[in-house]
Formats: sequence, structure tokens, C-alpha cells
Amino acid sequence: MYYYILEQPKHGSTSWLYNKLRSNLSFYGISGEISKISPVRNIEELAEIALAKQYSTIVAVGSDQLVNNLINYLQNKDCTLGIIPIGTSDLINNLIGTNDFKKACESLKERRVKTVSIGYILPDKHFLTKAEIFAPKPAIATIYFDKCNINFSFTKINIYSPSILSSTDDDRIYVNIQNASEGPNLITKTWDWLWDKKNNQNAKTYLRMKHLIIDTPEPLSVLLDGKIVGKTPIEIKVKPKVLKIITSRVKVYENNNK
Amino acid sequence: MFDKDQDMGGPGTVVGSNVKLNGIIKDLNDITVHGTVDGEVISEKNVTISESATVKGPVSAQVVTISGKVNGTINAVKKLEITPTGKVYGSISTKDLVIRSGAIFVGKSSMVGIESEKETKTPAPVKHEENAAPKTIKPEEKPQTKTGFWGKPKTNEEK
Repeated sequence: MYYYILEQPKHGSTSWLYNKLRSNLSFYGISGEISKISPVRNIEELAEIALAKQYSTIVAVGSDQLVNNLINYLQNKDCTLGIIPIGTSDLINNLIGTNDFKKACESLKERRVKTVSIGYILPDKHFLTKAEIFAPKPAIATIYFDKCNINFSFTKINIYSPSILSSTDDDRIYVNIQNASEGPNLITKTWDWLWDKKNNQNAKTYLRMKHLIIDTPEPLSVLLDGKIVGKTPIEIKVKPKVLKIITSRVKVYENNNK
Repeated sequence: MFDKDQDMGGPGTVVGSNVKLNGIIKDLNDITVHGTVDGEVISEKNVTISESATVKGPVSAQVVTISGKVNGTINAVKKLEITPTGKVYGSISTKDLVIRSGAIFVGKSSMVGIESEKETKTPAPVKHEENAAPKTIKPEEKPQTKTGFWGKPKTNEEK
């Protein structure tokens, strides 16, 4: 039923959590086969083993990097992804509804399954969180999307996968463009704060699209979980509703004050 | 839950002040423009053109608020407001128009809803009573004048 893939522990506390994992899983009645990623067996092999053995749920126990690597093999499969967060970002925590080890185990037991869309960086990288492009100095870029193109200067571009907007059914990639050189500086922010003025956020851009191409005059690195996955020009698409994921159940408390 | 760095904004589209956009920008939610748009701006909800924004092309939404410069037609289904810093060069069409003191508007304006009321006005139908006797047209009766024995009209003295 459950196949657990453990990431290589980066800290001593992670090893301690892994040791507690078996007892927690048996306590919640969700025991299964546990495998660790090692130099001998990488994530691709472990995912293939799990799919060959027809496990209904593959659980990623680790960080965003493990989750983003695992989803490459689980799209459009008759298999559900579960996540036990250890060192995950707020994006994953928001998606599954918890950042707590024990609550994640409870969610796996309750099995509230949600089908989500994921982002796809051509040619072969999928992501459930966000990709980033940094420019050490303000750089010029062009984004081509739908029937538009935009030209701008930036210091940072964040590209979020559609599933991050969990409160809406928007199936589009969310792009946030920032230019630190044009926003309010520290002195302006402090002055506005003293006089209770709202900061001018006009330097930020928020866009949504299903398909985009980002181009820059000079190639810039595209980062996913802190690792380089490509360089500009880069093409990013949405893969709609291809991944089943277990999220936490929303609890409704009855009002007993009658 | 999110870090300061992960500024999600709202569900709509925001074009920043340092951005130049060419083409058609469409969104089901609100669109806010702070930069330059050379093309169409279409929203199912609200469009806000801020003071620093310039739009060259048509704008279409339910509610449109102009504080910047627009060269093109504006179609606001519910309401259009041009603030004191707003400048509109082109025709506008809306149901509810508000132009603040200091705003600039050069173009034609058509108020949706009022013109359609005028066109659809028809004369009230004539009501016929069912049991009324048919009216007959009587010839005009000539005023009676008294005449004498020989048929000559009597004067006032003779009367």
C-alpha cells in the first residue's frame, strides 16, 4: 500500500526523525516498505521499483528537492504522492496543509486526495514549488506569453507552479518580477513606516499564464531548489491535473455555544 | 505562512511600473497597470490604470478606474471613473460615469442603458370600449339665424 522513499539525511536531527518513522507509521496504521536514496540506488530506480510493485501511494520523506525529483515519475500514473515534510519550504507546507511530521502521518491515514497541476521546464524538469532567475545587477528580460510580450528590468524572477495557489482553481503559472533597484529603499521604508504611509509596491509585477518563454540578452541560470536546471532562453509550461497528492483534511469545529 | 520574499499578490494581474507590455492582456480577475501597455486590456472584473501608467489601446471591464493616461476606447459595463490625474483620449461607453475635477477627457461618450430606453419607447396603444355605441360623425350644425317672412335674416333691431 505505502512505499516510503527517504532522502539522504543532511542533519543529525533528520536521522533521529527517520529512526522514529517506523514507530510512528505503525502507530497510525500506515506501515509499508521503506527505502533510502543512496549512491547505489537513486530516486529514479526507487520510483520504478515502487511502480512495478504497484504500490498505491509513494511517500516522499524529505525536502522540496526530493518532491520535485519524484514527481517526474508519477505524472498520469495510477499512484498517489504523499509527503512527510522534513526541511520543506512554506510552499510545500501550504500545499499539504502542515509542516509537522505527526500531522503529515495523520493526513496519510485520512487520505484526502487532490489532483493538482505542475510546472514543466522544457525539456525534462517538472516542479511543484518554484523556479528562480537571479540577476546580480538589474538585467533586461523579455517574457513571451499568450498574445503578449513584456520587456522589463529585473533583479529576480520567481516562477511558481499552479498548485501553489491552493485557494483557487487557477491552473496557470504565477510569475513574480522584482527589481530591487526600483523599489523603496530602507530609508524610504522607515520614513513611510514612521508616518504610517503605504510603501509604493509599483515596482513588482504579477502575471499568470499557461505557457511562457523567458529570454535575456545574456544567458542567466534558472534555479530549482538551489540547483541550476537550465539557462535562458527557457520555456515553461503547465501540465494540468496530472498529479494526485494527499493533503490534510480541513477540520470543521461545531459551535457548541447554544 | 509565506516568507517576505514570496509575495503572492492577489488573484489578478499587476503590470509593474518598470514593465512595457505589447499585446493583449486578458484576465478573469482584476488587472492593475502601473507601467506601459501597447495593446488591449481586457478583464471580467475591474481594471485600474494607475497614475504612472500609459495605455495605448482599448480597455474593457466591468469597472474601470483611470488615474493615468489612456489613448483608446474604454468600455466599462458598470462604471467608469476618471480621477483628477486621469487623461483619456478616445471614446468611452459606460452605464455610470464619474469625471473628477482636474481630469482630462477628449472624445465621445455614450451612456449605455439611457440610449436604449429612448429607442425602445413606443406610443401607448389606443383603448377601445367594447359596449360603446359606434360614433357617428354629425355634420357641423350651422348656427340658427332668425329670418323674416321673406327669408331675410333679421337684424338685431328687428329682433
